[in-house]
Amino acid sequence: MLRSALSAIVRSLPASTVEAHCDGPCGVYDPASARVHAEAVLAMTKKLKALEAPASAADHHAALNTFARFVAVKEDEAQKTKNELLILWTDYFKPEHLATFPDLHDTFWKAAKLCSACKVHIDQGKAEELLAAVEKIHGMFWQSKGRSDAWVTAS
Amino acid sequence: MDLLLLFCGRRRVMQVEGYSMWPTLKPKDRVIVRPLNQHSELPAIGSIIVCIHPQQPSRRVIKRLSCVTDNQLTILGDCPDASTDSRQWGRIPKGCLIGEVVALASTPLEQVS
Repeated sequence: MLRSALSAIVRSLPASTVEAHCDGPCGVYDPASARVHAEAVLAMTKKLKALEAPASAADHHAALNTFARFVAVKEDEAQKTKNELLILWTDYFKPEHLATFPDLHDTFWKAAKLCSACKVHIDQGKAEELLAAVEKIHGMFWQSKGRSDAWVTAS
Repeated sequence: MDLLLLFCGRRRVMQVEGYSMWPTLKPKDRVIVRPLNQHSELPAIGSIIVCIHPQQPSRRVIKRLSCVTDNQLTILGDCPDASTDSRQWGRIPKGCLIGEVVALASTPLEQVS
């Protein structure tokens, strides 16, 4: 009874909040996801630029089909890159990180714009710029965690 | 005793949010915290402690002290699936330590939303 009364007193007092939860719904963030998709954008851009005109009318439809498939994959991968970047930008990074990375918003904004440019054009330069932007974000991310994980690409 | 110290301003009451310390602590539980400073002796391994979030200094987190190495603390939640802790942050500086939980006023389960 005494214990219950004491608990009631403690519960009635003003209390500050102390958090016992994770930073995100799962707490798992990794710029590697964005890197894989950005690499795919660059790879598809290179494949598109390497396409040759069909040698004959008979090859025309096959060539169109290949071109359309490559463009569709490039479009899809660029959008996936943007999605992954937005998750890092809006969920992982917090206002406190701006003190360390004052160009954080500009970096993400430009990277997201590059995703769009890679969808609109077949531009290897833009695709390489996108991968470089993701590499910069990779560096910021791991620095924010006090780590210096190496930038390793799949291709 | 802790209640007396509480009224003397030597203890703080904090309310738990989240499930990372489940089943030891659940949301809305109240804990009485003994404040610690840089010169205080570190709590024993296994103690529940309150720290400054190592990446977001405006936040306070409650975890269990798992290991101390070179004035760096490894802190873990009792419920790993619902916890962000030293598995993501790495070891945190001793300077982040705010206090040690010395008593718990549990909230009835039916009041936990």
